[in-house]
Amino acid sequence: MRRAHQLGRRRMAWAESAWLARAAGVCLAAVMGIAGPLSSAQAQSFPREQAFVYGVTNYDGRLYESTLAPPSVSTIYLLANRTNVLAPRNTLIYFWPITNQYQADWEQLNELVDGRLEITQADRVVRTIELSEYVVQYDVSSPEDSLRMYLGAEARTKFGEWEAAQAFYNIALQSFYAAQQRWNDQVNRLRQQSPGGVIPAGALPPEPQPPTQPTVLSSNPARGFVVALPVGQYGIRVRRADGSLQADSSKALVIFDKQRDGISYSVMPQTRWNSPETSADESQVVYALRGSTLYLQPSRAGEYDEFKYARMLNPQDQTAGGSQNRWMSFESAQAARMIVRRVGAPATEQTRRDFYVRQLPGSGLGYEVQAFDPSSDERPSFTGFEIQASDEDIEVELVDAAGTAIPGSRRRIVALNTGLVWAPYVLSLLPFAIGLIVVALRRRATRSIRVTE
Amino acid sequence: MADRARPAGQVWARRLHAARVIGERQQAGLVSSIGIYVTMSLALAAASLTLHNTVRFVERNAVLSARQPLFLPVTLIVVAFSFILATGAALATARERDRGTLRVLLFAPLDEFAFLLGHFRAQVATYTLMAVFGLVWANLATYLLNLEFSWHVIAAFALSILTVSAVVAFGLLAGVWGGTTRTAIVYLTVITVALIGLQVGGDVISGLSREMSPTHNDPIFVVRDVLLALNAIAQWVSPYAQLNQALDALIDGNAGRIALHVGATIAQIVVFFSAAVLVLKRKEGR
Repeated sequence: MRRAHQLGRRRMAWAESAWLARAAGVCLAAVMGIAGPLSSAQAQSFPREQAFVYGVTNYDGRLYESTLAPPSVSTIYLLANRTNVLAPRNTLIYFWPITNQYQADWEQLNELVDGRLEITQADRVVRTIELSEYVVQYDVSSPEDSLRMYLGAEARTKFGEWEAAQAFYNIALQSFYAAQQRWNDQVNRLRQQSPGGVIPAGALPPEPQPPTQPTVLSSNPARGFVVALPVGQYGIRVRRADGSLQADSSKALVIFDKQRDGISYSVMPQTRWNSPETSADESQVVYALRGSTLYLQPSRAGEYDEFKYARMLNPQDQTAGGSQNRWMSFESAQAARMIVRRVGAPATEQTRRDFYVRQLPGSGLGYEVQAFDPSSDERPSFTGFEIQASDEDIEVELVDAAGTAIPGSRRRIVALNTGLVWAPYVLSLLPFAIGLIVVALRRRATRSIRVTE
Repeated sequence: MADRARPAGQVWARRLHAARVIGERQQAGLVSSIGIYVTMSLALAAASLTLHNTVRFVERNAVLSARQPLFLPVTLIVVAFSFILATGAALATARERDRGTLRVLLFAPLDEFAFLLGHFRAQVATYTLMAVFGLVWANLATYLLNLEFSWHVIAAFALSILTVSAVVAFGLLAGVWGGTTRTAIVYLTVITVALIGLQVGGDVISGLSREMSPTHNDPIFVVRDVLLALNAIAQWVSPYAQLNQALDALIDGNAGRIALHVGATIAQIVVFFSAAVLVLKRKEGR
């Protein structure tokens, strides 16, 4: 969800629902009221220069992200066999010292460069891609399942349908506000007419219900080169309509894929529920204190080359280095059941439950985690599977609705025997003790040789 | 000279016999002295400290997710022990030269190959014996602390024999290359510390840079990139880097990568040992 909203804040102009927009407008006005004088007093303008950039709309394993590849970037990284978009644009760029990265001033200049994208390998053009119109849409209730990129005429059709749904909703919302106003007036009138201001049962008219808000989000239609390539190293450049090569458009393009899929767990001990530990894959064993309560939150995850993945999300990111793999957690895994196996006991089943964290009363710090009670608790603090770490080693595994184990979801949970932490030190004296015996035996043998002689 | 007239089979039989005699004599000396046991105890104490740290983390944070908490202790044991044995190998060869006894030895029915193989065999056999202590310690610690038992630890000790062999072969090379005992020890120490420093430094700096805000100007990124570039070369020279990567591959269950790193370590043994034989031949004018 967070990524979904980041997506909306970026270059893609997501259209929000009317009431959300109004609330945002109120907030924005409040912020501007405070920030306005400050920003004008401390305003600082950075020199802009016109440049050719690629606006990159890339699939990140879950949703679409947007980023910028200015002339200083020599290589663009994208996921293999997924639909990604490179939008060739002339814009004004400026160096933003806070992050030490180039930013685009899209409002001042945002001009599509007309031409075609040439994809090369070993200096040979292997593919040519024409500009295409595209729209990204997904349903916020299940972004991963509903995410689609529509191209060409279908993009226009889908955007039109989305616009119509929005317009219909806005009209329905206005009708609802009007109906609600009429209902309020009617209720007030009835109250004034009723003895003692108490409206008799049955006289109250039915309250109008708000329309259902559309859950589909859409980007505005835009044009770019739609790139879906297999794993490999490529070169890209833009050939303009007049046949010339666009300056600064030649870059390396690295297409990579995930190493494997899996399930990662966020493991929250009851005593530190807000400091979870991540168990990224099946090779990671969860060590816990004996008798402690753990809450496990599973997520779908993919293992990627860390450097390439970071550069895909932001080609100007300098923090990633090396070529080690890293698990990236995406949306919460939907499995509702977990099989728990303990040594010497039959397997049991756990269901995903909601929990509520209650602050303890008083000035001292403290809280307790309880099962969520809808009658008294406002909303769940978190959702997960509750596991008691006991003396026996535990193995947990998620299963789907059909009872089939979900690959990559198995984990071992082991309760450490922390009371014997001194034992390895004592054991480390074993070689020394044996050495003393060996030396003593040798001396005795040497002495006996001398006596014999 | 007389060997040239003999059939190759006989020559090799004599070489291996000579190597076995030297190896057994040196190994008997090593195993019957207290030093090697003290070294093992200190290595295990250092390994215990890392395990203590793991347990303390769980005590303080209530939970820890780890691939194999015993791999770091095993690596510590291997690094400490291999360095001591490599130093022993370097000293054994360099001292013979310092004392002038090497030339006398090589006039006997013994050539450079057999002389070095004898020392190599002694050090590696001593480590194999000591690795049993390590294995016993690791399994008892696993049982007492209720760590997850894993055959990976047994495999790690088996792999470590190859790593120690490569480091000992390098110790022999440093011994004959240095000429004098002091120079040999300096070569061995500086190169070993540099290789370990590159590996550890690369890991630490990469971890630090990952936590920083993305900035073009921070010098840590330059340091990281230089270390990563150096490590990309050094990993094929350093037996420790190969062990580290082989252990990762072991947990991932990636047979191809295990074979690659085992093969690379065997290649290191062959290259270091062959280089030691060649250098000794050249220095002794044969």
